[in-house]
Amino acid sequence: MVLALAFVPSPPLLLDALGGGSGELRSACLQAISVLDSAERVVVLGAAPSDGWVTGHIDATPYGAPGTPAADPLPLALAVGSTLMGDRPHHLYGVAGGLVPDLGGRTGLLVVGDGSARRTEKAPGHFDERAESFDRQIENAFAAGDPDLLAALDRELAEDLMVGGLTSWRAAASAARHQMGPGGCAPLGWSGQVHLAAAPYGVGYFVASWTPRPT
Amino acid sequence: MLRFRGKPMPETSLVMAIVNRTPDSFFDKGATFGLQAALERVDQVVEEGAHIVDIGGVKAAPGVEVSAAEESSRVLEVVEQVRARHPSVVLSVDTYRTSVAELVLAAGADIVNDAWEAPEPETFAVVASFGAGIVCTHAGHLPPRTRPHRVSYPDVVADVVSTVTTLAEKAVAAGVPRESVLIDPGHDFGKNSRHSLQLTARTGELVATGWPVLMALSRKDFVGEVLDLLPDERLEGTLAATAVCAWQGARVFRTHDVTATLRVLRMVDAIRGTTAPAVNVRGLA
Repeated sequence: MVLALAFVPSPPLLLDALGGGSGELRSACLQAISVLDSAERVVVLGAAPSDGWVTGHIDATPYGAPGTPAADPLPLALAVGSTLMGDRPHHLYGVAGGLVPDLGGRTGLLVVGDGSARRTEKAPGHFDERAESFDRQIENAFAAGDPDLLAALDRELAEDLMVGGLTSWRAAASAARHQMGPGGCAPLGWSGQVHLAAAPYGVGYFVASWTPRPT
Repeated sequence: MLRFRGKPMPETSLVMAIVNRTPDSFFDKGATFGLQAALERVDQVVEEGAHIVDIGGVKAAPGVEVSAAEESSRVLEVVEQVRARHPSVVLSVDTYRTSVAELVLAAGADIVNDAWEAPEPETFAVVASFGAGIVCTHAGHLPPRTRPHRVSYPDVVADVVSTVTTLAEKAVAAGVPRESVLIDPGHDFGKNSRHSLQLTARTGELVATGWPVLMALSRKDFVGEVLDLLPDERLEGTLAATAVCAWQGARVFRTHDVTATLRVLRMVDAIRGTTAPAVNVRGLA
């Protein structure tokens, strides 16, 4: 059962060895993650080559950071999620299109994924005029705390617009339907909060959190 | 860690800015001879980010004789005023005279930059008594303010290494703190341009001595001869040599052109991996 969710993006620049990102982005992420504090365990959910539990090490050397490459480097999204969790215990689950298994207990989900990489002229994928409205749909889904809106995002368009987060978000939406209600009562739905929605380098970054809707 | 009179230096490549209180130096030709002009120049290079300011009162080349009294009067008032205006800046004075060194150290200078192979070796003890720093330079065993004429070396780099490391050990033996000693191969001093080019190419051999290396390359004749250009056209050549030396690990660069040199060094430091890029977003967003 899921107690709360936090959503963060996965630019490599959030990795400590690559500078750790701007203060604004970093602190928004940490603020969102704080909703997971009351969970019995935290599972980081991020895109990976295959579905399943993952172990390994954060390794920024493939992105040009100094150091020795790890033998078992984590996929980027999981490495970023793990970086943001820091010393707090957490498990890593890679998603490649499948769903998340029953997580049991009072689980907090840290969901790692990005919006469109075609938001501006200088964006990695250049400008696409459809990107901004697509990203607004993503933001609206986060603000509404609505798993159905998140799951309904158009997969083909997302691919065109280089939206990296869809796989993780779909898996998260499915898990979020197994919400743990207050005091074991029936679930009430989610209250969404968007901590940051911006595209400072042409890639849509969303930092959000979902907590149980107040009674 | 490099340290001058208690002032620790950052672990990056460093810039020493030239400020000449001379009427006749080869590049600035008296532009900062006046006290006010010299002080304004110091303000400017500090603002641009120079790590060390080097004040000189006598041009290197032969010319009008400058007495010790005249030299002192030129540099001392600059040192006094700069010390008051910029208490934390590392202040060097370019002199080969012990008497001048003593006066400027008493006024708060941090380094004595002796470009002439210590013709007055008492300077070491004076520098030590102030806990200050020293630059030990190879000048081809020539007297101060003389030009090389048909100089030759079996191996110029070997000569430089042996000369400057001997001077550096003498300085330490006299009590100069080991972390406050720089060695300088003395480009153009007692050398022809090919010698200076060899020293540039083989900077690594100087670095391998373990002493931090200062390079004084700025707009010198070896650059001018390579390119057949006048001093005011030698910036690019100087910066190319700067990059080559920094890449091999030289630590301090004495220059007329602070901003350009700082940018080159920041670039080389990033390529060497000793400093991180100021911004690192491309392809990582």
